[in-house]
Amino acid sequence: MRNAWAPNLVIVGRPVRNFWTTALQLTTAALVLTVYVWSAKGTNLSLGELHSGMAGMLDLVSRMLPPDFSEVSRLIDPMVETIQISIWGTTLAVLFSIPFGFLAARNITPHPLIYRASRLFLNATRAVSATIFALIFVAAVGLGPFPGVLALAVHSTGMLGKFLADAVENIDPGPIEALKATGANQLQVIVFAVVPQIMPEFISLSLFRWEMNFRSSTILGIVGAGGIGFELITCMRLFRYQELTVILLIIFGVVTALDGLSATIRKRFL
Amino acid sequence: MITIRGLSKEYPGGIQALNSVDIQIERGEFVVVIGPSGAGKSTLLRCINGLVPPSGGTVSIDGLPVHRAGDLRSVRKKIGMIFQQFNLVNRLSVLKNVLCGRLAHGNALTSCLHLFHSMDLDLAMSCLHRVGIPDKAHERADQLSGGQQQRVGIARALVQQPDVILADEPVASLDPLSARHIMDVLRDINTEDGITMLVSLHNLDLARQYAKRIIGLKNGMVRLDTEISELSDSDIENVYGRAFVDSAEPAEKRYCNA
Repeated sequence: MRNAWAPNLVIVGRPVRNFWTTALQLTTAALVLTVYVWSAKGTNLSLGELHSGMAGMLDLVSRMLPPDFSEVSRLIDPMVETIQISIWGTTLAVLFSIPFGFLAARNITPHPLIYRASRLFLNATRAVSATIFALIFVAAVGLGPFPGVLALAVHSTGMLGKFLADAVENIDPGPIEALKATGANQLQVIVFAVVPQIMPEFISLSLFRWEMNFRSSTILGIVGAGGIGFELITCMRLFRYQELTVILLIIFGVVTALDGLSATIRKRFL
Repeated sequence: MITIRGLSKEYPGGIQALNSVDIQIERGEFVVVIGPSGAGKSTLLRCINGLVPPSGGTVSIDGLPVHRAGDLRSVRKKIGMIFQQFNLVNRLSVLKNVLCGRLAHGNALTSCLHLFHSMDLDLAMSCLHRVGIPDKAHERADQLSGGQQQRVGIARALVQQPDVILADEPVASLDPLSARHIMDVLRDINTEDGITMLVSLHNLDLARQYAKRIIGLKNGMVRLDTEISELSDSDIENVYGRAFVDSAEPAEKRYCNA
């Protein structure tokens, strides 16, 4: 359709538009709008709330400044512990996700039932956040960094396993057929035709997972699973807001550094 | 010797790819399979090494039935296969791609650690010499041109020391000159090593030039099976239909009429 203001601009759409498709589109738009308004009510989302909360926020910020660096040496150990939690949490997840990733790939799985069971397991571990797993493992094995490692490992196995399975399903089937045709066995087909095809993507995904796990591990201490998060919640409870600022600055610095490191390594593999 | 008796294949969805095919191929023959797209050429080749299980009939190699063999892999070990899209593992070196053809011959466990017998390595290098690209051994497979990649594909089949090589449209993705070079290599292997060669082609000129015997498939049935010296235009017509032979008219005119 053309109009007088911009005669060269046309709307490109499906040529046949009948009454019902238009009605359906309008209804969908109205429904989406309703959901937004309804959710805003449920969350007290309003400019008035923002305005009345502003004073409190400014007050908090003023109490966080200037940062108090006097206790900074005490924060180094918990920070290192956080990095260590993320390293082992990710490594265990990589190891666990490999068998599940292959069993949950439609083109490799030995049986459709094993495929279903593996997908179900990966979905279940992925659906529950690492923090909730941390709560559970703290209750099971006690306070400290170890339940943090377990929590990251279980949740990330679900994430990595799913991505690995999807990567395996998307590979070029040609080399698999060629290797089968030479008489190679199933394990040899996986090692020579599947692994080389998914390796760069899996390394990249694992490093990306490590970045995300490090960010998650800063919060695990809040539920008692070790690391810098424990210092953070302590400062909050004792109203030591100036020290809290230092913790936030350290987290920001280390996250930025690790993201950069991981991005550099990932680039080498792509 | 390959004996095919009453071979049929129906894919899920009711597509009849092969319909009661009978073919006998003697050791050392060079047979070209022709036919329009969807005639069943690929399915026929894949039934011979068991990549596709047939719905009916039998294939036997030197008297051994392929699909009732307890160990399909030991049958495949002696049959090389070459593909239209080469089907190399792109990220592996040329040499490793060739060595993939030795996986069934070596130790199943050590091979998974990418460890190969030194004799296999020598054999792989000699096969690369044979196809004319020994200098490419340590390059990544995807760095090679199409014609060179197909040479790697041939070396991978050759390193199996097979009795039979199945080539499924080996030159369909190549330019005309590379196509001739690849067909020359296949012919040399056939005459020098006596390896039975079963090649599907859709280019009739190449088929006429390289085949000793030609088999034509249409709608999953054998419509033509003759020595190349006895091939006539009416044979071709049986496979492709009348319009193909009467191609004296310019192509545009035929398309306009259709």
